[in-house]
Amino acid sequence: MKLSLRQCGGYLFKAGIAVVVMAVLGLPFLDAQLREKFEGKRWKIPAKVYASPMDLYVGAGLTQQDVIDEIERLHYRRISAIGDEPGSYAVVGSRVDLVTRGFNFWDGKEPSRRVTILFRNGQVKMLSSGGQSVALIRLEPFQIGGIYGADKEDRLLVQLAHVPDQFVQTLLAVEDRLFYQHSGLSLRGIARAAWVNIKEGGWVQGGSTLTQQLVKNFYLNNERTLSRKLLEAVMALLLEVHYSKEEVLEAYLNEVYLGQQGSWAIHGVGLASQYYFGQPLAGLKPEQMALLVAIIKGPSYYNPIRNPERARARRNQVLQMMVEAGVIEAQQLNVLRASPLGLVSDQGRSTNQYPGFMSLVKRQLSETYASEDLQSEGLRIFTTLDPRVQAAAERALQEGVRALEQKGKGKGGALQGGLIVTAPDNGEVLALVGDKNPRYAGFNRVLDAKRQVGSIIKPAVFLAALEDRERYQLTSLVDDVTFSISLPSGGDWQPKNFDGQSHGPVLMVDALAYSYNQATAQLAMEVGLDRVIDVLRRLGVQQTLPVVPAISLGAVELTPMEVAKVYQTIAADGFSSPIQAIREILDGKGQPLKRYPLEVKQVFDPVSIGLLQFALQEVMYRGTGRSIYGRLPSSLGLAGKTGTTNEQRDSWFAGMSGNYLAVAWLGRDDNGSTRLTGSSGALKIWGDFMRQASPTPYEPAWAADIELSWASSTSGRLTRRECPDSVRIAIDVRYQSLKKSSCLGERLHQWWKNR
Amino acid sequence: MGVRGTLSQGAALLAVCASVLVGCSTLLDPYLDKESSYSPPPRPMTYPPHLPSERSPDSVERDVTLQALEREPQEQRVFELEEKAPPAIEAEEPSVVISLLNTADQQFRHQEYEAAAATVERALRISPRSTQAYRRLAEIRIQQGRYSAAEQMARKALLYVVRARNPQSLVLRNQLWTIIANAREGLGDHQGAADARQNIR
Repeated sequence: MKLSLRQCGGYLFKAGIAVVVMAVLGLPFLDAQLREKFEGKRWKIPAKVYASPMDLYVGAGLTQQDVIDEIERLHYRRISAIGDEPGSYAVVGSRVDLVTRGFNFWDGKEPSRRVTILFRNGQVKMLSSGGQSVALIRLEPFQIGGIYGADKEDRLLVQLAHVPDQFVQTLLAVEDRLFYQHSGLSLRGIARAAWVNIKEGGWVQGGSTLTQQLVKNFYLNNERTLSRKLLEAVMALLLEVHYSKEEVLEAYLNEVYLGQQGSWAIHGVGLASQYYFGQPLAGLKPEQMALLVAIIKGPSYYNPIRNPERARARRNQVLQMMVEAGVIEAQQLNVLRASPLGLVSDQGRSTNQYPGFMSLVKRQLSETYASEDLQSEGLRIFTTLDPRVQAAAERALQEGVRALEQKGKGKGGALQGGLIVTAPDNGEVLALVGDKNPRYAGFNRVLDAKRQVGSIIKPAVFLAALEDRERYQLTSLVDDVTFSISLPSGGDWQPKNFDGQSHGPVLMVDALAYSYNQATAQLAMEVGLDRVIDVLRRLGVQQTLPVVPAISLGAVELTPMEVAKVYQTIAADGFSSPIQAIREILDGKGQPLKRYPLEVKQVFDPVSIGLLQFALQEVMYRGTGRSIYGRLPSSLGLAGKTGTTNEQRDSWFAGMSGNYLAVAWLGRDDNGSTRLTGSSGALKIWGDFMRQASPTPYEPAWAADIELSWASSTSGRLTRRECPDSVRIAIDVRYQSLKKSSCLGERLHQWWKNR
Repeated sequence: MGVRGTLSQGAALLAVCASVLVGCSTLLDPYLDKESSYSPPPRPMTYPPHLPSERSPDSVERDVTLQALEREPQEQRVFELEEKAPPAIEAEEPSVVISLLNTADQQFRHQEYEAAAATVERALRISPRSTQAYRRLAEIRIQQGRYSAAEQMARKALLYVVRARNPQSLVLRNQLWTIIANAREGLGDHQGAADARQNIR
């Protein structure tokens, strides 16, 4: 259509008026909005969640492989000879040299330094740094995940001062050569782009400055109309009016879109550097920096994981531009162009690799923090998780269940399980696996599967008896006979043993070791259900318990976590501590915000607990748990209890070594029979875990009044070792309830009994 | 007298001999207790662990006996035991623990109590039965006015104090009982504090 010159001028004039009006009205508003967003909460920084950092000290029970696994997890680079590059390590015989990265912990800054570790006999033998021996070195903690909002954005903020100069130069050379010269818009850039676009008849090139790109990403969505382009331009100018080049550049570096992981957007060079290369920005090599800059033009098109060839070609273009801009030497170009992309193989692993443990962390956090704060304030959460123990626990549950399924238990893949491991003395959760498939973020059986506990609750009955040592010691005889109790609700309760047999009068220790239902129920009735329930309360069972005889045999529903709480108090010698997943929290600036200190409260006297601990060791030496010593050395002196419920719907085992308390549960989500007992199922899982986790011997504290002696297994009277049928026993020496006998006396007694 | 008579006489004689033998063995066996010389300890002293101000309304609290903590090993054994329980000997603290506790002491002197507690807890992760660590936590809690927590920490330390009667453990025990007494004073429980001080030798 041909316009006359006058008509053209008329249109232009009207357009000009419109622009002026818009500008006068809209500009201040736009300006205010722009500044508010830029200065206010610029980005929502999700909380970062860290595992427990590895402590290195002389005598630490860590093998060379344990330490290598940890630093590999932290993406340290393995090299042949150690230099001074943080995040690198070298292995020389039984020695590991490394340069740590350093970290700002709750209680101070751990500096980056060069460290030498010597290992011997599965322990750290020597530890030195700078030529001197060091008492303690703490590695950076491994990030296990973050707390993200629905928008699924994450950031690793960088400060311009800490961004390598080489990187900035590269970025400017490729994306905005005249960054420091223009004032938000580059007319030359626009003109050039307009020319190219007209020539090509489409949108081929952007003439955007970094400022414009920032505006586009930060403020606006991805509309690409002309009016949007105009708005962008105006905002870019405004931005540069208010903020310095440095501020704009820093904002850009933290905003630039660099890729996608499923539904997760990767913004900012800090996160992208970790995501693609497993390194902080400062640890990148020139060709890796080039690749990051190369991706900016089109993160999907140039995705180095999915389109490596394209990415590589573009990277090499960038390398060329780096030479032209004088960022790297021309001689390096060929070498760099030939180098591989340098990606890590486990991208984005830190997004919730441990869903079971993370859900416990989130629940404990939600008691104090609103989810909004967790998703946006940049909190740093330091947890109790031990990645090495977690790995052992995951393997034990996953492979154990698989092996049992192959043997035909829990058919159709229906067998499920849960495993939780805590430190016996302070209640810290070292590992948590809520599903036989550890990566699944679904139903968490450790926290939420309320299941009948069966015999695993029996120690409460014996503990109630042992609190009254005038009447009861481990040597006391209990009748393992059929009996029946008429229930107030009508009907009778007639407990039966697992093997259907009655064993007559048995020692209390044996009733627990062999898990005799009849003897246990008998004892519970004698001691009194109210006493048993009181013990359960003090052991941490919080729900209302029906005062029925069947609770002595486990007619109670608890989650594995609640069972762990019960055994925690037993393991900690009668002191109750809360089960903790979090140690401390720092705010977004690295300042201490909250600490979860150690709390203990004595709820049982140490002698009762000590005697119970002895009995739980007997469970393993000669009772229902004895199969464990086919796979682990008996010098470990482990203590534990099996649990099997009606129709074998649940298989439980709870037990402790010196350094671990672990509770394993197996069952079917549809509550069908597993055809497993506690010892044929959960104990196997538990044993597999212990075999891989380097347990230390369990050494009860033996309160002052406990002595070891020998007793006759038939009469319960104290004797000597060489007397017939004598067994080891632990006793409280003060009480008259102990009867003594001689060997001859015992022989006669037995002869009399067997006549 | 017929065969039956002889047999019954023989059986009676046998029974008499058997009972004599049993009786004799009871008297002669050195492994049996001499009941007359054994005097049972006084009835265990119970102490309510929760003073009125802390009692939670809806739980049934039970008194915890402290006698077990404070009883000293008997000089005269009731009977000889062939196998003694392994004594809870406090192994020498590893140097890393000593180093951490020294740091904690410094922080304590600068009144950085929570930082000191965090450092002590690091030491406890390495050496979970360190009585020196628990003692320090108890003292920190006293400084922070958290008296019931202080007593609980001290009780835990008492549990792990060496059974044998050596001078160091005696000193430590006295220190711990002093802390418990101070904690109870802090809560206004003068009788309890007096009871605690009775255990200081």
